[in-house]
Parts: sequence; structure tokens; C-alpha cells
Amino acid sequence: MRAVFIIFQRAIVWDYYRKNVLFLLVIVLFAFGFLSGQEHQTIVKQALNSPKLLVYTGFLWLLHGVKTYLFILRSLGQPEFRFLFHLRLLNLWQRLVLWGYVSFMLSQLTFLYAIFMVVIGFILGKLMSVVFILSSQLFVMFLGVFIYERRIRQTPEAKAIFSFSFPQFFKFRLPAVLFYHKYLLYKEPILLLLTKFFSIFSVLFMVWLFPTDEYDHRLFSIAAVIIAVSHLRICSQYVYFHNSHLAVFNNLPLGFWYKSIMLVIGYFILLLPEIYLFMVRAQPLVSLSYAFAWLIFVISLVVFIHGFQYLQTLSDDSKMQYFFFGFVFVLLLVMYKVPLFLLSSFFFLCGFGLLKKLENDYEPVQ
Amino acid sequence: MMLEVNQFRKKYNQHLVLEISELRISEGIHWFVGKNGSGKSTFFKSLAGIIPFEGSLLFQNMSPHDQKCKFLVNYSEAEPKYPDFVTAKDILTFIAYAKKAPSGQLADLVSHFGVVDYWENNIGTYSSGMLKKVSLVSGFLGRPQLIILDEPFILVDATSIDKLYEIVARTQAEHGTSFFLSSHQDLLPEKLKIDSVFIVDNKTIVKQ
Repeated sequence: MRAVFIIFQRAIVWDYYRKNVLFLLVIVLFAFGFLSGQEHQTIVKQALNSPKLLVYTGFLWLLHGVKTYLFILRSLGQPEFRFLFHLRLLNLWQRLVLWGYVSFMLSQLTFLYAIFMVVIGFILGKLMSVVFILSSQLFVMFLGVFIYERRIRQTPEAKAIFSFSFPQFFKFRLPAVLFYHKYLLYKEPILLLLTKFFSIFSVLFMVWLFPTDEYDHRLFSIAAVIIAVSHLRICSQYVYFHNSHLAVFNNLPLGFWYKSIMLVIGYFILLLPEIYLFMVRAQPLVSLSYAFAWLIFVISLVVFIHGFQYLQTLSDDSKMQYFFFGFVFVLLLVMYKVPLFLLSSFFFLCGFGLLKKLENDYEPVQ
Repeated sequence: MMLEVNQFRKKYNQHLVLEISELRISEGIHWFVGKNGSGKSTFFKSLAGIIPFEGSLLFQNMSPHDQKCKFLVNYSEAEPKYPDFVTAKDILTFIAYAKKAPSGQLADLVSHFGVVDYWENNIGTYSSGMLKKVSLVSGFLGRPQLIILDEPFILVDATSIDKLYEIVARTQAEHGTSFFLSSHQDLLPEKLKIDSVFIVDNKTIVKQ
């Protein structure tokens, strides 16, 4: 049994944290970069006194849980993880214990914070709130156990797809630039939802934080970097979608600039919720020229991330390492007040350069 | 010479699948025969600019990745794969636009192959034969000088095969278009005048 634990630890748990290192970094940046210990205590005390805030917190934890469920379901569907289906050789109780362990390990990000809240809850004598917090955590973990066990009982080839269909009357002529957006809606709704939720939350958080202290525009520039980083998987999925579902489009005589404009429009549409929120909520706080520079900066970052996906000489792990250090480096540049137009020009140049140089030679791994 | 191939090599994961030291092909209708996995589709996809390759592959002195070349070479996949949540109309309209198809050509083609009956439904609802016909329509859009039809006679019914013979002969007669057709079976199509046969075997292509 110990051996099985080690296998799942290495194949699932470590893999999750390795692939989400950027996500974790952003969370840590949020939690400890912008908020002091005193502010955390104030927030927790407010939440313990407000059932509404507690429910919101529980919802956030559930959302993080969904992210982990999706990761495991996706991993189990991949050929290299098929061997994990041998878990069915163990009896039900052993499997449940194992899934419980995996679920617990993947919930550490929210679980540790929940423990912090529980301690404060006990000190303040808020027992009902403590019960709610612990129940929410247990619910998220048990739901994970149920989902994983259900999946392992199916065949490895069975597809765990969360998809939905629009009613007939919703049909309209779809321009090619929106094919990927429809793909996300139909085939990857959870990915889209989680990305958008996190991304929009970043914008709203920064807009809320801005007037509370002596922050300057760099705060919004950091939000732009976080938005781009949270779209990392959306960008890699874009390249995958094009090469797996529309490979024949490579036979179309589309010019480089036409494809580039299509790409920029595609990402602009994808980023519309964040852009709209920023323009509406941050408008009283920033000038129109900064808002425009911010918009260009966000798009240049996602275009660069998109172009970077075509680098086939790097493994996925190496790419993540580069993204990690790149992310830190860009944050430093922003902190040192490097002008946004300079950064945007650099990222557009590199993104389009990579696209032009590598797109024709790109071939998905067989 | 329409097509000139020199020192062509294609590998998947460092595994060599096709190597052609030299090959010249002139205009006409050409038949490529080879068993499954022999490299027919790989050669065709390389020529259509869909996948990268090593060496030289020149269509009228143009690389397959040239934008101009992509106007002149059309490709219809053996086993087409499109997103199942869009309609054939969405896909074909975009291809027709990109290939600068003459006005009315798309309507004529979908009508000819019977695609018009279902092309407003999502591709996910199609059978493999219906999907294959969508791919065949896409192969004829625009004014190409070479149309590559990869395994055109599989998956489709007898009526559609007759319609395909008819449109291939007509397109060649009216526009002088060349065709590369492939099959994993040795049988030659009876209703088409084939100019030459190429054997795809032992990781290379030779003229019979």
C-alpha cells in the first residue's frame, strides 16, 4: 500500500504542483505581497462574523477543488497515466483512503488557510463558523474522492468531458476567428470558467486595493501580468486546437499579417470581460492613455505566450521553468517602472517573431 | 515540370517514414498506391504545406509553405478531422474565402456532392461518409492547379464515387487541373484516365 501511495504522490500530487507553480506563485504574491498579516486577520474576522462572506469563501475553495478534479481527470485520460487504472486491483476501502490522501494533498493551498481561520474562530468562540469551514473543506475533499473513484471505475479510454450544447435557435454563422472560442465553451468550459474567474478576480482585487494605500499604476500593470499568466493554458490549448482540429487550415493561403490580426482579435475577444471591467471600474483611477497602454500590454503578453508555445526544442517542463522565471522578471521590470509601451513592443516583436519563424515547422508530438 | 522533389526526408519522433532522393512529376492525373502507413498521406501533407519536412519539394518552383503555392495546391484529407461543434458551412465558407473561390463555386460543389442537405448541422452529427464529402468539396475550392485527393474512394457511397469521377474529369478538361489520387488498394479507377502510377513502398516513392 505504501508503494501505491508513493506512486500517486509522484504521478499526481507532485505533477500537479509542478505544473501549477505559476498559479501558486501568483496566489502567494496575492496573499503575502499585497496583504499584511494584520490585514489577513481582519479579513478572517470579518468572514467569521458574516455568513455571506463565509459562503463566498467556501465557493472559492470549491472552485479550487474543481481545478484539482479537472487536473486528475485529465491526467487519468492521458496514455502515460493509464497504468494508474491498476488501482482497481485494490479493494474499495483502500482506494478510498488513497483518493482521500490525494484529495487532501491537492487541497493544501486552501486547507492551510482554513486551519488559520479555524484557529482564529476558536479564539473568538465562533463555533458555528468553524464547523462551516471544516465542513466546506471536507465536502471539497470528499467530492474529489467521489469523482476520482467514479472515473477509475470506467475504462481508461472513457472521456471525462464537461460539455454542454446550445439550443437550436442559438445557432448562427460562425466566423473562423470564433472557432476556438466555441471550442472552449463546448469542450473546455471548466478551463474557461476557472481562467476567467481567476483573471477577473485579479482585476477587481487590484481595483479595490488601489485606493486603499499609496499605490501607483504599477499595481494595474501587475494585474495585466497576472491576467496573461492565468491564460497560459488557454494559449497552449489554442495551439493544440489549431493543430489537432484544423490542421488542414495550414493549406490555406493566409498571409502572416492576416493570421496575426486574427490571433490578436481572437485574444481580444477572449479578454473582453477583463478589459471591460478594467475600463469601467478603473476609469476614475487611471487616465485614458494609461488604460489604452494597459490593454495593449495585456494583449502583447498573451501573444508572446502564444508564440512561445511553438518552441518545440523545449519540453513542457522546461517551458514552465522559463515561464516561471520570465514571470518574475517581467514583474521586476514593471516594478522598476519600465514603460509599458516598451514592454508591449518587445513582447509583440518576440511573439510575432516566434510565430513567423516557427509556425510552419511546428508539428504536434505524435 | 510541375513537381520536383530532391533529398526529401520526413521523420516522426526521429523515425524515418519517407525518403525520396529524386522525383519529377509532370501535369496530369497521377495515382499513388501503397499500403496503410506507407507514407502517402505524409507526402501529400508535406506538399500541401501542412507538415514540415527536410529537403526540397518544389511545386512550380515554389515551396509548399509559400502563400502563392497554397492557392495552387489543394488537399482533401483521407480521414478528415474538423471541430465537431461547428458546421460544415462555417468551415467551407472560410476555406472558400481563403482560397478566393469564384462566386457560386461553393454552392455548386455542395450541391454536386449532396453536402447541402446537412451542411448547416454541427459536424459532430455527421457520419464518416458525410464528413468525407465535406473534405472532397474543400479540395475543389478556388482555382488550384493541383488537387490532392487522399484516399478519395473510401468511406463514400457508389453514387458519390461516380460524382467524383465526373468532377475530376470535368475540372481537368475545363481548367487543366492536375490530380494526385491515392489508394491503399491496387485497383485502378476504371472511369478515369490515369497518366501515371506511383508506388509508395519501402519508405520511398517510385514511378511504376
